[in-house]
Amino acid sequence: MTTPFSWSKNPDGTYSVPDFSNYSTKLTGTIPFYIPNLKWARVEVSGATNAVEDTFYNPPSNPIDSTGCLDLPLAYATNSASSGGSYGLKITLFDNNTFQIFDGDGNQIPETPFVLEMAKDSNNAYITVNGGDSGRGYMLQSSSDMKNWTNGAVQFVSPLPEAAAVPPTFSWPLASANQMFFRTATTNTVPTD
Amino acid sequence: MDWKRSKSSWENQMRFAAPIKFFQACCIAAAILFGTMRAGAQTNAFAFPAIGTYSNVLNYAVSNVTVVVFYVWAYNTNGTQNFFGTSSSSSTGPTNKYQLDQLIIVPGLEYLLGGICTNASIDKSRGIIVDVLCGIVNQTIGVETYALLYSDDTVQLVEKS
Repeated sequence: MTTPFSWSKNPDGTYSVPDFSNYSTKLTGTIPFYIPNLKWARVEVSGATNAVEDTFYNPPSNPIDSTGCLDLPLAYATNSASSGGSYGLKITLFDNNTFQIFDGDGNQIPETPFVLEMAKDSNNAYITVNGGDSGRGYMLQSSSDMKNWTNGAVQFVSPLPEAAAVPPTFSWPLASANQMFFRTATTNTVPTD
Repeated sequence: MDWKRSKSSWENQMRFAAPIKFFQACCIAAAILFGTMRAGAQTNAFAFPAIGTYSNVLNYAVSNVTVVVFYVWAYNTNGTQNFFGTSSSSSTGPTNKYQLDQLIIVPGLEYLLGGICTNASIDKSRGIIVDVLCGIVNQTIGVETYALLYSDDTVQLVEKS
């Protein structure tokens, strides 16, 4: 409760409405952001505290509320490390068919690039996909001529923090892999678990 | 074996495993030259509003209020509780905080409480509770979200002599 207002009973028995000249609303503890066609979101907090809101990382935590808005706690939204505050934010959205990442000031930031790493044993080649941002859809593509590419199955970058995630590794028969090129291609697909 | 191995092991690999050199070189070229390709066009990218500071978030919140809801709790003269509520909405948000508070909400409160003042069945001496919630109307699905700004006040009776 804030400072109470008062209404008065006049000598004639009537009542007067309060003086609301000092009336003021305040921000709520959770700020909603209406993002048309928001399909999935993830909010990572670092700095003064560490937290992740992502249904795939820590169900049922979900930064999307029942009305479809993205919710940000007021303390995080108003105290950004990139503005000299205490909290670093990484806000990842998938709306319509667009995957985007924003910092705590609301500025779009670039995605973490994928980096392929190769290994082999006597029978197989192993292609490990490092990098990417949690929830990002991608395919491993292969080609023998760098013109015609064959898509692998759609994958999603792990919701786990980078330090805890095990990068996915794809194996290929060594005899064919020796003559092939590999790359990743991102997909505009709603993340799934 | 990976690409981060030492120079000596790299040279050893080059000398004794020519086919793998080709394979690895191809993979490196693919990764470096092509990087990550995008499949499918991206459209209608969302522009996040400026946040990060209290004033930025306040500006965002005020300008996005499209519905204001008023709740009043009071006691009847017979001791039972009574509830009054109303709302107003707009397709565009206020331009500043003063406009929201003093030019939109206060007139609504005065109208609502004016009705209560003349309602003989309300026990004014027990005061009332007034809550105001300001939110967003999701124009696509018609859902209202009340979480941008709020107030939670009491109104107490003062008798004039």
